[in-house]
Amino acid sequence: MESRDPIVEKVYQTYLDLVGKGKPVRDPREAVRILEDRYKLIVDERVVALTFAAFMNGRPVLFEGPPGTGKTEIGEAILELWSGRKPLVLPCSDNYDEYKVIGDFHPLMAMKKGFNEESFTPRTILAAMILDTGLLVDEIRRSNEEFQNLLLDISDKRRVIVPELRRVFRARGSGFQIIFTSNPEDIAQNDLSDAFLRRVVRVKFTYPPREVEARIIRLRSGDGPSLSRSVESLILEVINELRRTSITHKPGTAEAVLWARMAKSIARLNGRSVVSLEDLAEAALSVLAKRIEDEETVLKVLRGAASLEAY
Amino acid sequence: MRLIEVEDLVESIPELVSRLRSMGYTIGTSQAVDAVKIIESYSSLRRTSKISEDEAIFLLDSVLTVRGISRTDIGEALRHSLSGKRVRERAERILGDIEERLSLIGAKPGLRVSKRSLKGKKKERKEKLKAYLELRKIGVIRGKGGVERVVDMSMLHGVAWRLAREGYESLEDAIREVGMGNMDYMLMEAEARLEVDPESLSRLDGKRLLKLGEAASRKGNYRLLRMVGEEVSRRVLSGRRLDPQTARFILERAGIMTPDHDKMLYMTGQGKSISKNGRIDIDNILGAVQGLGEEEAANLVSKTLKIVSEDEAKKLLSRVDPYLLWRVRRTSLKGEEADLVRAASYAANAVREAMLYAESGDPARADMARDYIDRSRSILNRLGNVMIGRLSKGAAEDLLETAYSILSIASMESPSPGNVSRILGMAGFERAVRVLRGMYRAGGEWRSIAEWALERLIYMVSSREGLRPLPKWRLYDTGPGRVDVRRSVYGVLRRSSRPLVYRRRLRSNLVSMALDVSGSMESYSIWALGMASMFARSLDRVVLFASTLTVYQGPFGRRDIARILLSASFKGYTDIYSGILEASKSRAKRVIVITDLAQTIESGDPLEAALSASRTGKKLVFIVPLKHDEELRSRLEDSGFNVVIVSSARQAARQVLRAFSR
Repeated sequence: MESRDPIVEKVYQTYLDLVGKGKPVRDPREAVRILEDRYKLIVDERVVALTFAAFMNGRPVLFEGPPGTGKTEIGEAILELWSGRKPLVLPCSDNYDEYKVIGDFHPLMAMKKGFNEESFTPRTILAAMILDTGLLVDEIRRSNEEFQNLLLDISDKRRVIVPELRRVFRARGSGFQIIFTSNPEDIAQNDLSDAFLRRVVRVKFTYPPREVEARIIRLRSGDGPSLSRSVESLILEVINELRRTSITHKPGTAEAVLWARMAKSIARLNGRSVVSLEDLAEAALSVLAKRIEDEETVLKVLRGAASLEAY
Repeated sequence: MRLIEVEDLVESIPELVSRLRSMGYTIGTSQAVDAVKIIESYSSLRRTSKISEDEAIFLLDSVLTVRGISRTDIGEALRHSLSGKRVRERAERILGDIEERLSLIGAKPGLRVSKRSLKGKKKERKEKLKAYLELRKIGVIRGKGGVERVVDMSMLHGVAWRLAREGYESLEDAIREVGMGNMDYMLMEAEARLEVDPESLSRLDGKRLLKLGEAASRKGNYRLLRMVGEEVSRRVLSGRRLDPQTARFILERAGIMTPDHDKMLYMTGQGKSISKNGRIDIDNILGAVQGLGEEEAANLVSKTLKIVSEDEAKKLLSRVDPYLLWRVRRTSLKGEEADLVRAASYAANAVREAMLYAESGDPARADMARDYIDRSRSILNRLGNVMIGRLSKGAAEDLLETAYSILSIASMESPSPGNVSRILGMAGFERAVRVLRGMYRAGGEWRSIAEWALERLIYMVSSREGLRPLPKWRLYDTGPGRVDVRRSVYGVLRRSSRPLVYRRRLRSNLVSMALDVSGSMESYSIWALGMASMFARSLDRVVLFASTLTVYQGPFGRRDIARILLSASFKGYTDIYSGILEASKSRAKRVIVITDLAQTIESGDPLEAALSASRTGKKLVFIVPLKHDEELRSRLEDSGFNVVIVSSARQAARQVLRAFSR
């Protein structure tokens, strides 16, 4: 019987439990339903269909948009549905190079046994390729240009070359796909090159429309005390108003959900079955104001919206 | 919606890319090829051959990833490139339609429109008015009244091409929408009998919708009236606020008014729905009263009593809860009957003030309560044995008793749950729960006392009413358990092989409960949940449903159930559909649903929810009061569901216990 490749063996030992095994879903409508039921994510069918269409044509996808719009979570979920296995996530950093993402040689082992399979430690990208699962490259703008080019080469040709081993690893099926996420408004990060932009399919994420955001809040804020319509509309009002102010960290949908959750927990602690305005106010500062100087703006907007609500 | 054939879109991509290049964007051929491939894959994944213009722009913006490219430029390039052969044909057809209409009203491009040309005999006038409105709608005639002008020839072509590119096959297609312009224009539309798209009615705000309905009725446009009527009906039944008088008028004229509409209009009308001139149906008012919360219900009762005739007032008084009379000041009743109403109203006020005292601790409230008690008492003392259905001297006395008990609890130096539950034990279970709810709302130490007291009260009431959990025994010939002497003796006598028979009590299986907490189901839900608390450990999930859903997930103790009962509020419309769905998400196999089966919110068919629950292996038991929606009941029964009809709240509690013991 043919023995298994030692590198494949290492990948299976390290990563197999992490990715699991499920059934791929490649019908966008079904995927949207599962995203809502299982992952509690409300995603436009167009986004799913476009991402799948890009995968079918071997193009990586770039999810771009402000923070808190669910890029990472949606990306992970779509990759999982596409390949049937949990994707591997690569949170980017400025000093990444091929050794940190493809594979590395253990220095002592390499000195002792040379640069061979034994001293080689496979890393995330190679693992994703061997396991035929998706790869989510988070916050791509935080990486340098060489790294971006490396990723593009891999996604274009669907293969990885490790010269020291004199070996080429190829993607085994269609499960290996890449989604990048990026937030152009973030500070302290690099720009994306034209070459990079040309090769990806870009899906822009924006804050969802009011009614969709309300649905997301209802879906994700969990059980327990209920949110009345007025409290719900107050949350949306405040969040939307804060996005128009000059606050440092503009609240995304994730913050809206967190706020609703916190308010529910406070209401539960107070023995209430319905979230009141006080519960909401109590949770507001800790969720919405990320810096001390923002507190005043948050309070002002909250008061304004609450008085409108009372009126 | 503007729809584009995917085939057209794909064919237009080379043209589109070259247009974008001429605008200064660098787009490679490989990108164009990829765009074609991805759009084709996209349409096959979505199984559609047509996509909207927005969607096309979204796709192109995603695929043609060039730095700084704007959606506006993509949109423009797309529209330009799409104007192929097919579009040209459509544009020519639409242009022909426009010219035909222009000649009908005698107008020419670039010139003013004469209002005189719109005149003629009745039929002719309508034709001309229709043509004029259609041209205005698509923007061929522009400007305010008096200076209206047909656009010039090049703009006329522009309009036709725009409509053609938007995918309209003919002018008729483009104008099937009610205008959102000014009111006069809309009223003219009603007169001109334009084709109306029911979809567009749903986008009108309430005020405009009613105005359009009135205009349609005035102008005798019954088709439009019927359409507006149906939209009004949909909104009324889903609890949206509309001016009740006008809504009623439109529903009646359209011939689709039902008691349900009437009831909902009373519920949403905030008192405006009661008018001296209109017809008032007491049954519908009673229906509305049951669906409303205490405050609004009392308001509706007092407003109705103010204007209805003596007979109708008696009919209402005989069936309404005397506690809801606290707002009543004036009725058409005379003599002793009027006195009785006054006494009951004072007594109800006494209860209210006493509850407010319990909540706030404000001594002025206690004084007010005592004052009301005195006034009520003085009237009752001189009254003979007068009675109007449910409203009698006894009922007023009951209220006074309740007020006394609340006052004595609230003024206790050191209230203890034991004393509280003993005093409240006299007041009747439902009333006692209401009182405790008031205490619970007062917060502080009252909260825990109320919880304790309710727990004790449930115990007291259950033993008084014989509502003990029915034990479920299983016999064993080995221990542990109590020896069943009778069976053991029988066993010996019959020479059975089992000399000693033990019995062991089994715990109930897990149960999930969905309770209707709309106003009409208050007493049923209170009794059912109260008694279910004796099986608290077996309760996995409690769902309270009215207009909104509240879901509590177990494990519960008795105290938790008491807390749920104390914090629940009983009002609003009913969404049984979501209630069932939520309750069946529990891991319990058995689901008890307590409701009157009247789905008063547009959400979904409760039967569907029940079927989907039973598909996942849940066993549903419906416990419904005598007065329920029979249509839904029979559909449920036809689908094989167990529907138990009960005549009182106590019976409902008994059925709940039985369901637990099964």
